[in-house]
Amino acid sequence: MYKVPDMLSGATDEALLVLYAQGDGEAARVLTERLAPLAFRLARRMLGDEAEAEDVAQEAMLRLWQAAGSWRAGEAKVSTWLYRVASNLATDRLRRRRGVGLDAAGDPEDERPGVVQELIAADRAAALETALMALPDRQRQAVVLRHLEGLSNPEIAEIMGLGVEAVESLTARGKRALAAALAGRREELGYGDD
Amino acid sequence: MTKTNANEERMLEDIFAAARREAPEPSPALMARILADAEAVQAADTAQRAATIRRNSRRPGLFASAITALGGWGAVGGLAAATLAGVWIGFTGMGALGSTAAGLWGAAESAATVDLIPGEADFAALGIGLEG
Repeated sequence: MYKVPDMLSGATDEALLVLYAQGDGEAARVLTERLAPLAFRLARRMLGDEAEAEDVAQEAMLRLWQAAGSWRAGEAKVSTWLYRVASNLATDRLRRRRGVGLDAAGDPEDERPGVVQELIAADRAAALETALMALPDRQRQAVVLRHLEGLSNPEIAEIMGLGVEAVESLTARGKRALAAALAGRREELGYGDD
Repeated sequence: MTKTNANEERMLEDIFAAARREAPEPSPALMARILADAEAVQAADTAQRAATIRRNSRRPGLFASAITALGGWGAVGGLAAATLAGVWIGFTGMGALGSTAAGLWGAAESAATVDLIPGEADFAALGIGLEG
């Protein structure tokens, strides 16, 4: 049977969202394939928990579907909007876990003792995840968005509701803390010759 | 606080690159749930739009209601013609009614033959005395 070529794969997220709002089922599929992984990855790395990340990703995407009908063209990038929604949902969960607000909790010291001892995973990605989870929430969020999702500082500033300088500061502190946490595992992770 | 040195930078970049390659991926079950949500929201929106269209087509607007109250489009046409005639008579004035009538009924019928204000002879013909 003749298969219609995938005409929508080259369309922008915003164009797809307009098509979705008009009832196009294919646009829903392409948007899901394109955007759901972003929401899931960010939530997974912020929360360190698969099931919670799935809930956050599904909820963030549901909010996107519901916002499609009233989406105002050119106001925000769809992916940036989704990162922000997923970030906020993940942050809410982190707050609930602790039972206190982030502001009240404040940022702990960057180089916390014991982080290296907590690194139990053998490979680099797992070691990074463990070290990331030991970071203060805002530092982790900034590092993930900058170095793992590859976003620009202005985009991260928009997502986190901060100035660009504050983002740079968070990212720099996060990287220092990660370097300190991973320092004790340099040889184990294959960096012993440096 | 010191900045990350070159060795640390290199190690972190390497680890970040490994993490990007090993990025967590959503399960097929999650993707299916998200797509099901998309379709449910879409179906609800479509149903809502259809209901709105049905509601609007069932309920006539204010203008349509006014036309019906006046007796339909035929009656409205008659009303419009009468209104236009009134405006025309108003513009031309009573004094020029003769020429207006000539325009209406043709030049052959002079204004003199259209006697709009009955005279004594007319009343006499009807057997009505003007005095006494």
